[in-house]
Amino acid sequence: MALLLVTTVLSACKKQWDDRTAAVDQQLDKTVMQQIQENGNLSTFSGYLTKLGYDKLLAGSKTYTIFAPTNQALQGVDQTIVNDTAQLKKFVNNHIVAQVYLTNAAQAGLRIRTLGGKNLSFNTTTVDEATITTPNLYVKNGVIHVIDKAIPPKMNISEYIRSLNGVADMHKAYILRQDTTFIDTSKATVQSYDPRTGKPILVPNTGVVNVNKYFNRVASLANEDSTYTYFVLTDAAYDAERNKVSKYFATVTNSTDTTMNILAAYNVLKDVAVRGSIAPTGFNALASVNNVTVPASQGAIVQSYRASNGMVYVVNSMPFDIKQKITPVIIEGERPSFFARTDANGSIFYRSRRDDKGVTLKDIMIGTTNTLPANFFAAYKLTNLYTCQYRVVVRAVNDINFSAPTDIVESFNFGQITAPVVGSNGTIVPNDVVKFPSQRIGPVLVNGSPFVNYEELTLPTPANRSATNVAGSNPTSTATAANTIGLTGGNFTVTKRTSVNMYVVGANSTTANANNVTFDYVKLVPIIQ
Amino acid sequence: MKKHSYKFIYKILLASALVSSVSCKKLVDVEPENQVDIVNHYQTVYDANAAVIGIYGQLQGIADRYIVLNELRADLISPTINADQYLRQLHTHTVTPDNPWADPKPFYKIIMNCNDALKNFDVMLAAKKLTQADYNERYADINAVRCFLYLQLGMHWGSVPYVTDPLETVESLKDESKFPKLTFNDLLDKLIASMEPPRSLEGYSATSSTGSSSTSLNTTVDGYPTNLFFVEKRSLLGDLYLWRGRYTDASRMYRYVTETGYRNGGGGNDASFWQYKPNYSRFLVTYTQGGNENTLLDDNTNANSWRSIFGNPTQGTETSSEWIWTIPFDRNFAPVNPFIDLFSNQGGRYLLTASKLALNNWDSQLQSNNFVGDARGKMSVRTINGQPVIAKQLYYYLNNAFIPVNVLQRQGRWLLYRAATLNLHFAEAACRDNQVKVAYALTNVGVRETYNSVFPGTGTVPSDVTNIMQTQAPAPYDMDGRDGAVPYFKGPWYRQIGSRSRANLPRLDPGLYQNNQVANMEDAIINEDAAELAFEGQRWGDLLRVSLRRGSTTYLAQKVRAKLDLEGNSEAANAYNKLSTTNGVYLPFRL
Repeated sequence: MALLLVTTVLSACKKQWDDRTAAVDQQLDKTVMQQIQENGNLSTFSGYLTKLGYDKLLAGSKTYTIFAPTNQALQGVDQTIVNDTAQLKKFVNNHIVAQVYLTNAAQAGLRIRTLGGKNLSFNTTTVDEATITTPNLYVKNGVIHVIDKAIPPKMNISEYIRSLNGVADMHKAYILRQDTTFIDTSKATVQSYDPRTGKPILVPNTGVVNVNKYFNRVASLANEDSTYTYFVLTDAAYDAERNKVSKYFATVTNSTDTTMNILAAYNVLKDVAVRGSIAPTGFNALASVNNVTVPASQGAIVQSYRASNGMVYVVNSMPFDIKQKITPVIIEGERPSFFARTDANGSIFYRSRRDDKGVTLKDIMIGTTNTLPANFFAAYKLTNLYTCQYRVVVRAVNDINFSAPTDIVESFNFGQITAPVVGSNGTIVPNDVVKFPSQRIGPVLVNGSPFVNYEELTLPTPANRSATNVAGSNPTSTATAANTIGLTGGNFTVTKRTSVNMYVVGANSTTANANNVTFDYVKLVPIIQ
Repeated sequence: MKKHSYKFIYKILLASALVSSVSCKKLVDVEPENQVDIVNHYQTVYDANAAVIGIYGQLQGIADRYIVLNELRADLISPTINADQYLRQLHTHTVTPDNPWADPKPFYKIIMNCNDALKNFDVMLAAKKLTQADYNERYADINAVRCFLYLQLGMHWGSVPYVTDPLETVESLKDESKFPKLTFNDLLDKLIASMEPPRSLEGYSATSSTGSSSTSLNTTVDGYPTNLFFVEKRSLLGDLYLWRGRYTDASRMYRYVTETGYRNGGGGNDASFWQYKPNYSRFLVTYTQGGNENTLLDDNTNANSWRSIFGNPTQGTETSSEWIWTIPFDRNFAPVNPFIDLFSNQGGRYLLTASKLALNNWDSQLQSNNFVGDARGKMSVRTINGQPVIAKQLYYYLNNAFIPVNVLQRQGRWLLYRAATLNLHFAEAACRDNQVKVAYALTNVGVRETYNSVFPGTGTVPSDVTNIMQTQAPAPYDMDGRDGAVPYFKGPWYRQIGSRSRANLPRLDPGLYQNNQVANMEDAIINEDAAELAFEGQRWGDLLRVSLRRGSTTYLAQKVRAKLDLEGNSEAANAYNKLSTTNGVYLPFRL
């Protein structure tokens, strides 16, 4: 009897027991693939998936988001793509995203990565340029959004520039020239190990990594994950801008050569990339990745392209402000290259100060002792100066509180870099050609009290900036044709792109405090002509 | 069936209880052989010493709590990205009752042990197991530890039960009818009464005998002299007076401690001046090549460097002039140094770092030679691996390249009280006792210079110093800083140079004392506290003490808001509103 009872109970339970794992929502019994196959309007896309063998992938346990174009949307697809499996795969991959993205997760700026490696902009009602007509068809391993337009994979900015033909050849050629490769040993195949050194010997042509030097320095235009707005200059615009700056990169005196053009080209093209994807309506006060104003205008656009990682505009004019391109060279006092002697460390002081505007500055002060030799100098190596005339501007804070305010008198001299010549007394003889001698940098007397001068002074220093009311001496030059620097109309001039030394020299005295040297920075301001 | 089984078990239990109670009688009479019964614990002076050392060992166990509560709740420390929600709650003053840091039990646990030890010292004295002299020293010491703990409880929880009976467990405290909560001021009165004479204020007497035969606690253990392990009672009593608003009494205590070296040296003898407790020209912000900022003396072992307060490996005459109460953490004995874990980003969890406000405070200063920023900031907080790291507590752990010598060897030092703390507390008491010029002298350039008859001018100081360089104020402010050749004077305060001079900072505006600006001078002292004593567990007390004195906690609330605002913390306004109410400054008390 009891046994009978038990079996009755068990049999009665059986149905319920089987249902315990049944999904309440019938939708969750299907796979992505089944859902697509069931929808007659997606049969073309379904056919592509089957052709590529994706039907098995999408019937599996991983979850995906599918942007499925309707049959109508796929009518316009080129048959050559459909017939070529490799191309079709690229095309289909751009519609499939790993993991589930429902439209309620969409937001402006959300970019989701497809199986093909490109990113799609996912908004509530659109994905890239396609409109989502039937959103959020969820099944057990993913979700399908039906869209009204196919989303063929786009080129990224780098690919687009390389595809240009006949519209911006010079710009394109510059970028192609910057392509290079290196061997990444961690990616290379090891053939064997050198028995002597233990170092790996690599299989040739393995581990080769392609890079573009321009992209590395300016903007990673080949990277799918960073977005840029990039301006490509037509040959005319490129020529015009490069000619504006090329004279500042003279590598051969009074001539043009290839190096000069390459340097000038970089100076132009370092400022044609802007962060973010910007529509032509947003073209005001654009700042390049190097923080130079980009004078883009809608009227100059020759053609434009929405790339997978931003916008590209080919423009026929880009009139850069040359003052922002050829910028002042600043030499910080606290970063000297060498000194007249190597044994004077006890007289060299590095200081921090707060100026009259509350800004912290760091400077150098040499002297205040009577052990310093006469004409003691600190030297600064200046590299790659623009070839032009410069105004020499100095900021020096003379705030040693002498009982009577004393002028610091120092010279700012420039010379070619040569092997140092050490004089008989152990002091290096500066090889200076252009000199701004005996500059007076205050403190000035205001109502009889010393007044610390935080202003910039253009050399030669004016009379009102010195306690004795004496102006700095006019510059002199002993430059010959062999020199790459000189003096033009009282301005320091660089005639050929080279490195030079700047010497900041104390007075010709060994009296304590009479031969001090101090400055915060020297600024060489290019004179734009 | 079930009923049957219960009855059955009950019967068995009853039977066994009967059996065991009969058979136990004999067992109880047998003394256990490997355990000491509680009534037999206190037999000799060595047992009393063991109790004292044990209590200090437990005190080390709350070193992290002391720093976290006193600094993170105030304005100089902020949590890093690694900190958990409980630390963040302290930071934003949104503490929930389940926050382990807001639990007063760890304090009470030590207090219970103090109570037990004190009761047993009484028993031992009555049974002549302890001499009167030994009893006086030990009783006063443990009583002072208890006062220190109660002061911490009062500072953070406001009203707390004051218990001096030995209770078995902390749980018994929950009965509020037996142990009512005292207000903070009533608590302070009780603590002061328990410490004042006839209770001894002296430390442990030194003894000539060493090793296992020594009965003194003033000895050397594991290579560490113990004389600075124990709480300095006069400084603590001075602090209690300062909290209670008894400024003259507080100053009396502070001055006495400051002149310790002079008294011990018998006066006059120049050598003894090294043992002074005033801030004198050691542990300086100084440059080996004056005027060259790159030559800041930044060194653990050189006593001329301010940093060596925190990194000096040996307790010698120099460090003894600065350290007043300090307990070492050593790699060879427990408890483990908790500061590495809190502060270090190498071998620690790096939970806490300096607040932006603290860094700004230092950066906004100009040194006497116009260098930008207070150099103490550079030595208190270091950029290590790109992160700002509180370095004061890490100098024993890091080498000169700021890399751990050994991540498993976490030696360090808990510096609870030092001459700078004493000096600035003295200044605070003097300021509120209407001796603003004395407070100014202590904070700035010292008595000798402030009272040299030409200050704040820079004229020639008379060579006869008989009637200058002394405060000529009523006791306890009658300090003598005379330094003269003919006639010869070396006053007890002649080497004192003040906290700001020591840090190479220019003196404050003399108008502070010339116009008797008490509140402004007090602000300046509290700012100096922040620069000198940051991260040492003083800050919450300093801010709260001043707030309570001014009758409004907005002073404290503003400082905390400034910290949170600078870091863009959205809780800044809420924290300000909460801390502006007197109850809002205290943690929820839950036992």
